Amino acid sequence: MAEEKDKISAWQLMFDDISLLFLLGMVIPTVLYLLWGVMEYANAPIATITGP
Amino acid sequence: MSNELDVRTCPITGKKVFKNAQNLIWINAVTAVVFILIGGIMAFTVAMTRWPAVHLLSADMFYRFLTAHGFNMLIFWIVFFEIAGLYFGSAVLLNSRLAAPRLAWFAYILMLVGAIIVDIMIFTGKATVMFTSYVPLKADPLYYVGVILFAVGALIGCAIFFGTLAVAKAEKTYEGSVPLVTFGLSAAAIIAVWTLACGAIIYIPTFLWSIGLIQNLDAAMYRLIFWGLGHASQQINVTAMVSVWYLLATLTVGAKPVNEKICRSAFVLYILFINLAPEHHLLTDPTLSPWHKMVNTSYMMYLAVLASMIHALAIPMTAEVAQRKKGYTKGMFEWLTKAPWNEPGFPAMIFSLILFGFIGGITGVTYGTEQLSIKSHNTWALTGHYHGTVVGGTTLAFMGLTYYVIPLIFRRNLIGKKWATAQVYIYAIGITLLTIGMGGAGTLGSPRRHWDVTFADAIIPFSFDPTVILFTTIAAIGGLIAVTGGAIYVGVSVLSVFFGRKLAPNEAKLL
Repeated sequence: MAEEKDKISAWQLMFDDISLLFLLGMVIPTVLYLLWGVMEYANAPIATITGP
Repeated sequence: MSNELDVRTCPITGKKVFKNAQNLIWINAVTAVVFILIGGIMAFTVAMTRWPAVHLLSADMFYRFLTAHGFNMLIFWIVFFEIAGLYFGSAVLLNSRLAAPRLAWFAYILMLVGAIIVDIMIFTGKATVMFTSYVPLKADPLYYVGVILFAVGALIGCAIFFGTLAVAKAEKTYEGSVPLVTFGLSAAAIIAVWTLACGAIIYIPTFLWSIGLIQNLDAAMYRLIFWGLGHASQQINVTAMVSVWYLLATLTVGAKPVNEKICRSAFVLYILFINLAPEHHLLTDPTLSPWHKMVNTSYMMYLAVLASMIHALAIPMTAEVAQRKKGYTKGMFEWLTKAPWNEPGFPAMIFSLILFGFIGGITGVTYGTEQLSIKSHNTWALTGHYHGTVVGGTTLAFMGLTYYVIPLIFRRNLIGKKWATAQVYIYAIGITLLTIGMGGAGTLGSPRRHWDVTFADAIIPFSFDPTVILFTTIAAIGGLIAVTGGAIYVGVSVLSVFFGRKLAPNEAKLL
């Protein structure tokens, strides 16, 4: 069994690991799109209304 | 839950098919067809209203029916079909029992109840908020409840898919890696979980806002998170559609991927990067920094585009290799001319691939740049883009697959094979005209989601170049042809599922 595993490439082991792919699929868009976007909106200065 | 009596062996594939998985695939697929029927009727009314020569609906009914068209087609039809696909891709392809079938029925009921509530709210005029339901547009609270119920049901469906993968692995129902189609559907399910989570994150506070428990909901924040659902849900479709292409290539010409590593790598690129695409909807928002926009729409997003290009080349290649192995080696294209064009699956796969790639894909990548987004985003050209991806691409592929699922899983003989094949051609021609018309009119400035492009009742009169009306007419005629193709699909599917001859247990007949 251990010998068989040695023959399998690291890439294939990663591709066969659905949990790892699941984790990456959650983390990347959450960080790059959602959290980064929320931070930018949250840090936007609040507009002040001036004039008559 | 299951015992030996619940299992049959498929005479075509030799795989075990558990009765409870078969029933769940059946109910989800049949429900999907009901929703494509509703969405298709709405499509007809919307297309006939956009066409100035007919202008069928009043403004109120137009927006009501347009909202219904969006939800029934983009979400209900496709997600019900995808859940059926997930159960097929896990339980059937992995030779396994389905994990938690009772929970799967509960998920189905949640989705169905949610969809019915949403439709009732829309048709009674209590949720004319379009597919996007941008705040501060406020719908009846029940509308949001319906969406949340549907999303939770679909999320449970995804969990059952992953559970079934675990069961199959634990019970050693397959050896080595999962089949490529199952791997592709796993990618679709991963994308779906993130998508549906975004839906929950935004629709729960929106529901609370609609009943007055939250006073203010930030419109910009809503858009950011909503598109995590709204656009990413279409990425589930893309990934599931590509998986269906591989399946159709196998079912129609006996193709096997030439290089599975490349194909699987392309699916992994989808998992990692395709869910950054929602940023396209925010490109004109000045609050977000250029870095946020560029990272999400350019640097990372193009890796997902690369994946689509890999699939678009890999799938015809697998078909070519399979055909050449059969002896169709004369010249460059004998493999293509001798392909089974008289069966529904092959033309569905090829037309879906062409429409998705050349109309949906190219427009998507170009309109997804900041400069073109500013010009095109609120025009009908964008509508043309996603009708190329979701309708010409996903829906056509799903339609083609349906004709094989009917004998394979539902064990019924397909009624009207010629009609089924003709339907694929009719639908493809209709969608081609529809998307070209939308794209042409939109490029000349015709707005999307507009009741009357002639501006007949406008206080300040305006008229487009007559070419816009020409393109609008082309789109409307294309819409009519596509609706005809869609009606034939519903007719053939329903007749076959309910009245098709029952296949004998050992009858290895596909089409």
